[in-house]
Amino acid sequence: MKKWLIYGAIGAVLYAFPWIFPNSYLIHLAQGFLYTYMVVLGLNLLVGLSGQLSLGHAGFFAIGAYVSGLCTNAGMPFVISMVIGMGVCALAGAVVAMLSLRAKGPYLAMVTIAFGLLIEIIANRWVDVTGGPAGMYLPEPDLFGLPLGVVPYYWFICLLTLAVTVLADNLVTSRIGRTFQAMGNSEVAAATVGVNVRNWKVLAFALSALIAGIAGTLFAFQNAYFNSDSFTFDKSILFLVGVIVGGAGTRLGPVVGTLIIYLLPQLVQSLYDYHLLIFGGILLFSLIALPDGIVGGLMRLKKPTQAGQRQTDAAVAESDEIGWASEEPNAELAMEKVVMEFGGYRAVDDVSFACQGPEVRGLIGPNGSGKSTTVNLLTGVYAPTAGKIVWNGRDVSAYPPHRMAKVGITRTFQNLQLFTELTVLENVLVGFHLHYRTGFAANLFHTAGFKREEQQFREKALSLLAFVGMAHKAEETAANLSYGEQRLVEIARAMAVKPKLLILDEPAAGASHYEVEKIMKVIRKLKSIGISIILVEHHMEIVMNVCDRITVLDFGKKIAEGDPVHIQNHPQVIEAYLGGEEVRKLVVGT
Amino acid sequence: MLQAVVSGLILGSIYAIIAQGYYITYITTRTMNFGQGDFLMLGALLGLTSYGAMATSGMPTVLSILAALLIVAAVMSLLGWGLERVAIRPLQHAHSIGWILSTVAVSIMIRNIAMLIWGRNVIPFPSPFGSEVVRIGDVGITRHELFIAVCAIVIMACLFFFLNKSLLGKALAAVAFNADAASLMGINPRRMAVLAFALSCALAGIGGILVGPITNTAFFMGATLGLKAFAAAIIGGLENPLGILLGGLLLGVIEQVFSLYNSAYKDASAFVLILIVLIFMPQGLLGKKVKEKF
Amino acid sequence: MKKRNGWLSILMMLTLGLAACGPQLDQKAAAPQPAQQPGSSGGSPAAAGGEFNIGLAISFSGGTAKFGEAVRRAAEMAVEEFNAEGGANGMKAKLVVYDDEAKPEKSVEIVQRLIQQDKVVAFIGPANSGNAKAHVKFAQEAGIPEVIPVATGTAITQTYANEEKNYIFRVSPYDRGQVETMLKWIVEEKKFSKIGLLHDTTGYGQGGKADVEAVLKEKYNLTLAAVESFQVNDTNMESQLNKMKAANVDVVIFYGLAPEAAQYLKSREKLNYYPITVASWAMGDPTVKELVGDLVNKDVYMVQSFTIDQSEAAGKFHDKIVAKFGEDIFPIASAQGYDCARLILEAVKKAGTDPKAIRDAIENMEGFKGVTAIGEKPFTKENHEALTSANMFLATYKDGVIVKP
Repeated sequence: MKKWLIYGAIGAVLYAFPWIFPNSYLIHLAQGFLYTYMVVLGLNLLVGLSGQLSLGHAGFFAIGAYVSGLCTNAGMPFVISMVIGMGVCALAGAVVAMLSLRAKGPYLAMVTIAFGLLIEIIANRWVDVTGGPAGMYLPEPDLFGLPLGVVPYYWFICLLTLAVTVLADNLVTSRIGRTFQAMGNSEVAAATVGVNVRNWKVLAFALSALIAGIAGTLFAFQNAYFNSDSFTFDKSILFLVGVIVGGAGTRLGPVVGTLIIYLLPQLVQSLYDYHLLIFGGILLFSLIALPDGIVGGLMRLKKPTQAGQRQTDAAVAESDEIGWASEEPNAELAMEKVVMEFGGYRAVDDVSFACQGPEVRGLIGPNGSGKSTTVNLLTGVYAPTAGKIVWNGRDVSAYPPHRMAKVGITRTFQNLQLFTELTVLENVLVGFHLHYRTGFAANLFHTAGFKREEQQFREKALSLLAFVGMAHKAEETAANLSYGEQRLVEIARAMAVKPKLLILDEPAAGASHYEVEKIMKVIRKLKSIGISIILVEHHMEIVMNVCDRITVLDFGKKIAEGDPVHIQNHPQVIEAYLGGEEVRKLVVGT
Repeated sequence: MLQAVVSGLILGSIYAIIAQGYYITYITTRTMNFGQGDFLMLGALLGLTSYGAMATSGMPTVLSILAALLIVAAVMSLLGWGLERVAIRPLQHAHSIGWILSTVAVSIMIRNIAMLIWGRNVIPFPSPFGSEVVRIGDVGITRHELFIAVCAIVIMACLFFFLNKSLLGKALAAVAFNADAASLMGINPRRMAVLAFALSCALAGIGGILVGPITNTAFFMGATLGLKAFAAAIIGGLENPLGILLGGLLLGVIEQVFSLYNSAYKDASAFVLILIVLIFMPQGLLGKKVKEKF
Repeated sequence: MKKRNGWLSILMMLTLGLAACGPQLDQKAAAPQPAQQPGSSGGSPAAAGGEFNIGLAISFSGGTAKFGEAVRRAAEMAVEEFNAEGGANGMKAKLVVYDDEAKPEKSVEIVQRLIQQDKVVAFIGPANSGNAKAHVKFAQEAGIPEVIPVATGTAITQTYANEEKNYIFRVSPYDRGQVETMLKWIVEEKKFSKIGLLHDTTGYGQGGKADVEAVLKEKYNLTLAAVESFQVNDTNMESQLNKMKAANVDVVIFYGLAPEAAQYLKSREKLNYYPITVASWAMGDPTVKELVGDLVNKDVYMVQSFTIDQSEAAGKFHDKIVAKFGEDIFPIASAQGYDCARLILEAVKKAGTDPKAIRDAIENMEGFKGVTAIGEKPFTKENHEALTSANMFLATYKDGVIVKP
């Protein structure tokens, strides 16, 4: 309700602007501001939310302009051309994403730079089609026969900007936005709860490109003429400056960022000898003073009061219920002669073990014995060099993490992989990824079905948090939790996947004594529900107390397997753990 | 054809020298100076001015070249130090891409300042070795290009020696390998970061002096070269200096040879090459494949 | 539901707005025509004081920055002289300057700003032809005369040639005229038929290419034997020259700016291949000679419309610029910029500060004494080019000095 009041007010101001300032220069500026803002908004989805990078957004902007321009000049109605331009842009975005799937960091930057520059070159050289630097003349845009003069065109831009803002906002506050953000925070964790990271990256790029395409179209028709000099690398950088200086990932950031990149240069226009100096100086200063951007920085100032407020209103008691009945626990996992080599070094060497039904299987071994590699193999993070992993009769050796999650195997991480920018509750909600049923459109328009489902999963997530005793921190940002608390939240998130097999990778590492107790209690509760668990742990106290059977690895080989008593007395195991009586005493003594 | 290859190799070796600057800072700090091109421009203009001053004061050519190189290297190192302090260090903790933009910010300021100092015109940068053409068979090479080739070999050799053999170079490599462990061994990673940026900027400056006489020196000359050098580094693999050398030479040759086929899309050839390399080798030609550990 | 209400309200507002015909833009700029003396806020009109603005929208950054700088210096000087001589009826001129950054969208912005915010009575246009194409619409629609000092793209002044009043004038050798001058020499005098073209990929080179191809086709029914291009900042043109050599051309037409022209001349030397070269006016930029020295002397011809020694006025003007700024960074651009500013100021002297009257005065200007080759009556209703092919000639370097061959 309040949201619509705000949008209404903004709409009214935008609508009234031409009457307040009946000056074509100012309206021209307003038009430019709005479509620039749109690009920044789209780029923010990509950079701020999904953690990707694009230094080639001017390319999408150009594609939008050229495709819609060409369509209109071929006789199509303006609106249809625009839609086609959006489609082509989305496609181009998807292609760029595919090209850059495996590239990270500077390599990703380079792919996008290369794309942007290629588009610039094509626009400049393919003169027969684009007009090159001689440009392309366009007819006056019209809305189903209604000609759009300067002011109506401005209103049309306002309308589109508002619509894009509302829809983007809807998306950000839906599970789609959450998934983007999760992917940006930790790709691997997102994958282990079932997010197909590749497809989601493609979606993020396509969406961002589509929005840039709309803006490109609006730009092209603004002056009824444009040429290839407008789509330079500088422009891509400028868009990125808008995102970062405004505040990446924030909802108001793009507005503030666009003010900086678009209106600030207008103010210093007559100081043309110094404008790069001024712009660079302001950019540098704002980056140093407010590394999270202007909006991000302001929000940080506001934060402390909010957190205090939150803790009071969500005080759900700890519970033993996870909110759904556990399904038939037919977990049958077998590793068959699995080998994992890294450049000649065998981290896992011919290991076979099987694990059946609801049991807690301990996986122990000294540092470097191959435990973590085994976990990575079992969850699809690595694919084995040789051997097979069989799950319920199916060969899953080559499954990527999100497919492992789909068949019911998920995990927590030794080096924590929470979605640090999301709240605790949102972390768990991302865990439900595979169980959401609403489609993209429902999330885009916040339909009734979407709201119902969101409410449902919020309740489920809260009960999961209550299960691990973290419900009181549901609204806290994950980054602010202690190690032990983060590990509990990771367990809750993994449980949201409704796994048949849960792999806990050192769930007690770094936790305080009190937290270790809590974690042990949670593991016991999980066991009582009937989920199969593989527990990798150094705390012998936990391992010996909780596990039904234990598998011991040393130098990548399995050296022993059996119940805790058997393992405690196994000579090879004792030897492996730095050998000798003292260790044995220590272990048995606990 | 042969002419194109030779010219390409010479241009490519300049790309490679600039690109080594990206390598040094990337391995030590995981950041780079995205404004390397403008630092190169500054190096060229500074070199031009200081060489001009020396030469007119009657110093012998070789001495004034060395002096100009030294001055540029010193000034650029100082700037590199400043860059690290101002634009990299304050932003390193924010796990964002802010450093890309902060280095760009510094570079556009430098561009503006250079424009105010040296004006908007293109300034002639006469090579100290003259521009006579030496002919080997059908292939023409200017004496300055020979100088570049020699310099490139010397600089690369020095760089490899420095990184692999000298104590300081080993310290840099140690920080690159594991900053925490290195600091336990008494190496100050921050000091190494400063050193890396100083070295990187000095390389850009020297690259500027070398490239000055064959490009046109003006305040806007940097952007293209910086970008090409970045491309070279990416093609070769950011974490492998040999790969960067290879990437630079490859890029230079491909551009020149491609323009024999189609001069209009010469630039495009470089970027298509990048895309193809990165699709199949997302870490560059000689980049290490790292398995992330979880 | 709530959302739908929101949408409906927005839509309703929009349709209402359209129905009500919308706000009337730019009332002040168009209607209250006592803009005769804008800015004379304090004093009474009889005191004949006050100020009027003329604009300068040109590039000060990027590859064309030097043109902008030269024009600005000259225009500033023209304005200062005008004010020193007492202005027009005591009204002083003020030059409002913005940088278009060589980007068309920026150019549109600042031209609108000049017209709407600074209320200029006329303005001096851009260096980049693409920028001119993007913004002339706004000058024409607002009825503010524009005089272009550098951009040479042929189509620019033709855009509104069929309108009753064309507000776009130019004092620079437009491409078509240059191309005609070149080809006349190449085809008619020298009887060459294998012609190669080497052009840059900016609007300048590509525009030139279109003109060369068109004139060759229409006038001589010839086609180019080889077309090659290069990019700004290219370090050599060996590959392109080798292809020219392979095509065995008689003459190379070079369409690019000074820095690249220098690279071209260097590459000629490197390959030891010196085709006869005919270039556009940019080859006469003193920078070329500064960059390559004696290399300019070998069979290099270019279109010129201005040499410092062509007339007494030109020489005097050059000396004045040098005296004031220490150097003349680009003599031809300075001279053209100066004449542009002078045309506007003379028109104001004659017709006052009404933009429409200024336009008419520029179009009907007589007895104008310019420093370029501009005629005493530079324009007619049909012709808005001050420098036509009649004013252009083919020059060459002899011992480093530009002379008529």
